[in-house]
Amino acid sequence: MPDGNQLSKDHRVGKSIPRPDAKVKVTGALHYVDDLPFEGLYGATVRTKTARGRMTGLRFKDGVDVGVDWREFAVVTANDIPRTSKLDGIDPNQVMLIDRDQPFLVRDEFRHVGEPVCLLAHPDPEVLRRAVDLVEIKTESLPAVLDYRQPPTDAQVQRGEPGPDANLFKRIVVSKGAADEGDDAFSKVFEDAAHIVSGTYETQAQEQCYIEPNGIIARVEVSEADAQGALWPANPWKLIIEGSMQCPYYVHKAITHLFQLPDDGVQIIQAATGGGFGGKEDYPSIISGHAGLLALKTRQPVKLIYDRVEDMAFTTKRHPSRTHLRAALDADGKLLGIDMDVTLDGGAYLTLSPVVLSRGAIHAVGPYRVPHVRVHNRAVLSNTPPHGAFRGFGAPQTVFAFERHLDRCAREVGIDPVELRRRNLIIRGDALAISQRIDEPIELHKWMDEALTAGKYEERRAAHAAFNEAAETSGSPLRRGVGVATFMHGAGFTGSGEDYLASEVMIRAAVGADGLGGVEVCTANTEIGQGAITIFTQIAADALGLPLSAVQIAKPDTDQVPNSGPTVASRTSMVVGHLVARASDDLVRKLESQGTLSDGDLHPNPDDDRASALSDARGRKFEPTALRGALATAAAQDGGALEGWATYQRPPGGKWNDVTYKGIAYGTYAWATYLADVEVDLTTFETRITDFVASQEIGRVLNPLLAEGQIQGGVVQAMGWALLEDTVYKDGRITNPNMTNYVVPTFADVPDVQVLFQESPYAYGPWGAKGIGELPMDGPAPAILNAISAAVGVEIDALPASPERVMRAVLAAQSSEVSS
Amino acid sequence: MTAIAHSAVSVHRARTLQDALDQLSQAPLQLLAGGTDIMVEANHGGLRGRHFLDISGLGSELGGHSWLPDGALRIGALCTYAQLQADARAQAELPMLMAASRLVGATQIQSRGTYAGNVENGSPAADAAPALLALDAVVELRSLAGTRTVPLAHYYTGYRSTARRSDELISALIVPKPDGGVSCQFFRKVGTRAFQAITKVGLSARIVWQGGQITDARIVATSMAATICRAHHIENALRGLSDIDAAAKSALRRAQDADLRPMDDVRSSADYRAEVFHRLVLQAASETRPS
Repeated sequence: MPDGNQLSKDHRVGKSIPRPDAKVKVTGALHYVDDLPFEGLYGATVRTKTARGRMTGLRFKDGVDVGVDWREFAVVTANDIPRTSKLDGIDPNQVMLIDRDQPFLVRDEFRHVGEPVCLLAHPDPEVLRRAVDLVEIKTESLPAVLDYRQPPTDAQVQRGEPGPDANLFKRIVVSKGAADEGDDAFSKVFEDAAHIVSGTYETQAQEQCYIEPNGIIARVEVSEADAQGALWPANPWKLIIEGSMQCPYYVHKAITHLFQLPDDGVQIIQAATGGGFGGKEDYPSIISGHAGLLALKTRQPVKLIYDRVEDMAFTTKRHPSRTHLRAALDADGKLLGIDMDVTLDGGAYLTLSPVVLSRGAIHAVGPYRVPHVRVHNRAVLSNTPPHGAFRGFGAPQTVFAFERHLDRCAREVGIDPVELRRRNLIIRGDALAISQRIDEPIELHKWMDEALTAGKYEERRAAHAAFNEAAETSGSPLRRGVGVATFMHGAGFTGSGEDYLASEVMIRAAVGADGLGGVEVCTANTEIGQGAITIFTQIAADALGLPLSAVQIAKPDTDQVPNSGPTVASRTSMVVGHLVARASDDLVRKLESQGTLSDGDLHPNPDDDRASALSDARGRKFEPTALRGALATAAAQDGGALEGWATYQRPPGGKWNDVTYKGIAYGTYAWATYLADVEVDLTTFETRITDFVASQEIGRVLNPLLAEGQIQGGVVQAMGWALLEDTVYKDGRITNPNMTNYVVPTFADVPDVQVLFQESPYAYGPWGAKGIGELPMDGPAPAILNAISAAVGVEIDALPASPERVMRAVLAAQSSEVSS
Repeated sequence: MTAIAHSAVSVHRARTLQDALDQLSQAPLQLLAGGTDIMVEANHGGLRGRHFLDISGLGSELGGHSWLPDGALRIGALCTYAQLQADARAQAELPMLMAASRLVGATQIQSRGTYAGNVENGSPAADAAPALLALDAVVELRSLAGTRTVPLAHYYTGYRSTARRSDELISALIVPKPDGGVSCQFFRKVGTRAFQAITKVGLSARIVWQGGQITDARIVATSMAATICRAHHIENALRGLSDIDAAAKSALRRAQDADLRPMDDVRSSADYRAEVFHRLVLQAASETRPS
């Protein structure tokens, strides 16, 4: 573990080394899935048009007048999939995720607009597109849930029995203090409080808007005997999937199940991927299944690429949420109790909703010391396409509600919102709402003050008060406000998740482009724009004491790399990066034990700066030239190149209890204070963000430029969620699935985002690093809405804070003033 | 003609203006100049079965702009936003049209898109056309039968429909020298974001103040009706005003309700459009008032 904050100067970690994948991306030389050389058929998906019903038949309408000859098409429906798997007896037509309620193709009942019913393949994509419109789906309609906030009628119940648990995907209760003792004790906390403050907060679905839409190519390898004839081969066969994705092994799990193939019968290869943000966490499994079915049916390669509209209309988005919040405070503004009720709209199938709900629940009360807490969380069904993973994963919803509520509490108590936070932030040794004691050396008050100083909080508060008063007098429509959010984000899978994953990383001796010995890092973690290739290169080079050029990163391919887990949950640098360092150690120990490296190769002045408490920096003890020589020898040895391995090992400390929802939810957290400065124009009710400061403690900055980019990108994505981005639904169908009417910010809409880092190294991250991918999504929306609320003097409690919403709130407040 | 050819896109590239007019006289063709509206539809297969007459090569006959002896501006059919914005006199004399031009799409769109195309496209959310309407622009139409002019105020006959006959093309737009100088010009677009945005509500106005009162007004509304349009009741309510007091404000709001019934759509809502348009009118009246 590093001692203090300083790394020795020869480290690559901590420096903004250029991305190894930069040149091919900037020059356009890199092939994304739709750019790959391809000869085969194109696939398309026929989808339901209504929110809920039963399919009674399909009709393929005559298409001669538009050049569609049905004899030229391959058609796949659910009837092509057997009802029970010959492997485990389960219906193969179910997407293997947490539950198995979602079909690859509709057999009978369907639950959302755009549910896949039928797949078509044809050599000409233009003819294919026309054919899709010619497939008529005959249906009987069933009552749909179009507003997740309303309790369902009996006829709308699609999961569970009518009653309080109707259409419930998952319920989680976080409880602490008096709430553990029962309702009476918890009620007493509120009865005795000097202030009780209530509010209701809502957030909307958000589209990930990765630059590259989803796309998959599927190929089959069948024996000669199976080249023709039955759809399902009699002899062993192989399915190869290549495409845009975050999690090759998630796709692998889903595809082996659908095709009833053994693990080695399915090969999943990640193509260069143009962004994910969670949107390519689980959905590529479905597209892979579809492309695979068409490839199997035709025994030809099939390419299935979504265009922007199809991708926006039917793939996953951030869960909408509604939160009721009640806070009990003493006369000084100290939080005594929090009673919170969170509902997430899961959409039509369960998908990842329970874990999104869980992360939201755990982050709900933030980095605050609250003695008595009850957070009741539910994910419920509605008849829209399933909501899924999106950067932040449930935390942005609850952090928004809580941080917005703290500002309301501050006004009620009569103190500054920052002062209210200062009085309630945890210090080292305090426990979070989930009863996790924070023993790492945190200094949240100091870190918050650094952010406030950088954002000139006090000066702005004073200046804005004077400005707004003058504007009121002069009739100017401009109002200014500053707002703050203080929050945290746990990196890696929640609770025991990393134990179940048991991720593995392998590092192989290899010969580099320069002919000298080096290593190849083999993980299933994907480069999706965030810089995984760069970070792994830095970590392996530093763990081994080798130059960057001696490190290669293997392409994620399930035939070639071990399962190091999904590229999600801010875990790639912290969890998998740590495994890269430990696998490097293992490789060097093996070189020693087989005698390829000997004591004579030891460095005269060894550098034993270890990557973490669990690594031994073995490579750094050797003279680099000797190590490279040994690696070259080990790369060429009989029986294959020498491999170093590492398997996830839980850091020492307590465990997580999934039943009580108490314990160590995350090994560590990143801590942050964000500040937004805004100007609202009361002529148009438009908000301009005039300044933004994002300050966070992230353990160790592995690559300053990438880290700053990661934070700025997340902040801008959250600014879009806060002010502009809205999904508009009518009868369960999104009406703005395009970049014209789903409005994301451009450079003109966002200020320069000032990024500050504090570093308090985490003992079990590589050189102290914590995960940062999702953190910047959590704080901007509440900071911005706190600023708007301060500027206009009216609480704005729902996202996005569009001019329309701000106008209604301001006018409603004015008319209630007039009438009272 | 085979089935597939029937559903394909056809484009005839006009060699001369005469050729273009000949083609138009024979069959109804959709005109293609900058193509910035048409190419959006191409993304979604929306061009299937449509037939275009590409006039983008007729720059020598339909391009450019010129200032007429009476001070009017003649904008050729192929004149782009970028070209006119490069003219210092346009910047000096027609700030509202320049402000509108700056907010059309992005730089690339401004380099391809034409004023005539914007007028003919007939979008109720157009950027440049409302400014032209507030400037009393006139549309010049050519066909084999000759040339005629139609005031832009009478050009729109309904949602995305215009007074142009299928055998005609817009040859130019003529903007008279505006009364009242530049200080009476007001343009404000409220889009879905700062740039590259479609208008949710917009006001293009010319409000002439003389001797402490409003003597003339052009109030043009964007995204408030099926077409861009003048709000005559508001114009009448403004005339003669010397002070925008509470009574004047409520009169203007009543006038607006007589002129404009905005709608809810995917981009905004009727209540927002009505409220903000009213506030923009008040802002325009205030900002055009000589200090």
